[in-house]
This record gives sequence, structure tokens and C-alpha cells, in this order.
Amino acid sequence: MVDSQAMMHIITIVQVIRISKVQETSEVLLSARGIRRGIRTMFALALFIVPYGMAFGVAAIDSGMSATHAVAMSVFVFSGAAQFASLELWSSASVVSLLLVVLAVSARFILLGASLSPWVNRLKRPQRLAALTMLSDPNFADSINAFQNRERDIGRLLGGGLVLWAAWIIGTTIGAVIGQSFGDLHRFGIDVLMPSYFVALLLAGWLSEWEGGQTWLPAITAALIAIFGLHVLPPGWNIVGAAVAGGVVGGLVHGR
Amino acid sequence: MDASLYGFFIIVLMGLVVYATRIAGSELMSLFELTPRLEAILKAMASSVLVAIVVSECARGDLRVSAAVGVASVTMLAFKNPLIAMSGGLVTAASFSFMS
Repeated sequence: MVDSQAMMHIITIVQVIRISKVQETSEVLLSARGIRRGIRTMFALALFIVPYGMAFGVAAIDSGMSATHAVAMSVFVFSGAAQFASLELWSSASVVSLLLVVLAVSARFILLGASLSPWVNRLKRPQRLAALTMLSDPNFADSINAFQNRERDIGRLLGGGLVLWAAWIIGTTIGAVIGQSFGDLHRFGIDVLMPSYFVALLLAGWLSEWEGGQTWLPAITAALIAIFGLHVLPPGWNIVGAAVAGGVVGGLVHGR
Repeated sequence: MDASLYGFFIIVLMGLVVYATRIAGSELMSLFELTPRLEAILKAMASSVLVAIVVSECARGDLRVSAAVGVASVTMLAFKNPLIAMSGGLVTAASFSFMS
């Protein structure tokens, strides 16, 4: 009798935990407040994106692109990797190879989108497709840490992207119009901006939730594949290969 | 390729290709049920992308890039603030440039 009562208690507790878990994960939303939070979080980083955009504006003009096209590209494409890569092929005649290169260096976005899917896919489809227009590396890195720490507002991703986008466009415009007078921007360390920021966010994630082999085995795998692939794969594909390999290792280690 | 209107056309095509990659992962995952193992795969993949970007930047660049990333890591551990860490990396890289 006592045993069955205790059993009932346990079942009730388990049910309560399950219900609260479902509620916790289903509360995903896309709100103006979340968008503002994203803008605030990414604002300081966006200031650093302005010179990065300037570097693109300068490089675009150097490759023979008009200032209008350079700015239009930052508006419509909004991807440093894709835009810099396209410059090398801009004055060639092959549109197909240009688009293939753009696809190759952007393929990692497919993986970023998949990684965000546990949260983003709880939104209605039109909201989800709108929120993902502003997906880029920095706001992905910020949002994935935030979502793993109970942020439930996809506005964080969208708002962060919007302020980065604005900074990217402003930077491109300055660079394309008056950039030649600044000289080589890389001497200010613009090129180490993103790797420095990503390593910091990686450490932040690991400090808040270290899961032993589940954490370091995929990371080591990804690092090795990235270095190896750098020399044998076309540009950008080493990142994709490393991420997929890291994911597979994460899946294999899971539950052991 | 820069003949004005044609150039815009190419830019819009590029934008569509990149947007397709932005939504493809989420669209693809909507076909699968999210199991704990799949969640573990996605989580590992999320940090692996960032690890891969950082490591290939270091491998492709010179000592200056690796030093900047190293300083950013130490600064992050000390101050627990990504922006301070990034500034640490930036200052390191800039000092390298101005010293050489």
C-alpha cells in the first residue's frame, strides 16, 4: 500500500517535470522586445563591423566594382565570406562559377541553421523564414549560447543580425566612397576580429557547460579536419567538413 | 560584368543563393523529429563550426593571427567578456603590424 502510494508520488513528480519541460521549450517566440535585446547585445560588436565593411568596400572598388554595386551587394547578400570570395570572380564572365563559389563559402550557413533548429523551428514558418534572413556567424554565435542558457526569444537572433547588417552596409558605403584614403585596414587587426570573438564565445559556452568528452572530442575532431581540409578541399569546404565530422563525433559520444 | 543592371541582377542572384543556405538547415531539420541524440549532434556541430573557423584562420594566417586568438582566449578567461576579449585580440594584431 505504502509502496503504491510512493509510486503514485513518483509518477506525479515525473509528470510535473515532463510538463514543465515541455512548457519551457515550447515558449519560443519572436517579439519586438527580443529584437531590441538582440540589437543591444550586438551593438558593440557592430561598431567593429563598420571597419570590416569598409575593408569590403575598398576591396570591391579595387576589383573594379562600382560603389553602387558594392553597397547593393552588402544590402542583398550580407555575408563577408561570400562577398569577398565573389570579388575574385566579379570581372570574369562566368556567372555560374561565381554562384557556385558563393554557394560553397555559404554552405556552412546550412549547418548553422540546422544547429538553431531546436529553437527556431518552434516558430511559425513565415516568422522562421523572416528571422533567418539575418543569420550570420556573429549573431549565430551569440544566439546559440543564449538559447542554451534559456533565452527563448528568436528576436535575439534577428535583432542582432539587423544591427550587424546596418553596420555592414554603413561600413561598405564609407569604404566604397572614401575608403582609398584609409590605406590597408588589416594593419589595425580587422582580420582577427571574427576569430577572436568566436574563440571568446566558444570559451564562454564551455565555461558555462563543460560536458567532458561530449565537448572536447567533437572540438578536437573539427580542429583536425579543418586544418587538414584547408590544403585539400576547395575554399570553405574544410569548415563544412569539420562541422559535420564534429557533429557525427558528438552523436557517437552521446549517452556513453 | 559591371554593366549596371546586369550587375544588380547577379547581386540579387547571389543574395538568393545565400538566403537559400540560411533557411536550408532549418527547413531540412523540420523533416526530422528532434531526438536527444540528434540534439547532441546539432550541439556538437554548432561549436564545431566555430572551432573550424578559428582554427583555419590561425592555420591560414601568420603568427600574428594565432597570437591574437591566444590573447583573446586568455583575456576571455580573465574577464569573462567577449568584447574585451575581442579588443585584446585586435590590439595584439595591431601591435604586430605597427612593430613590423
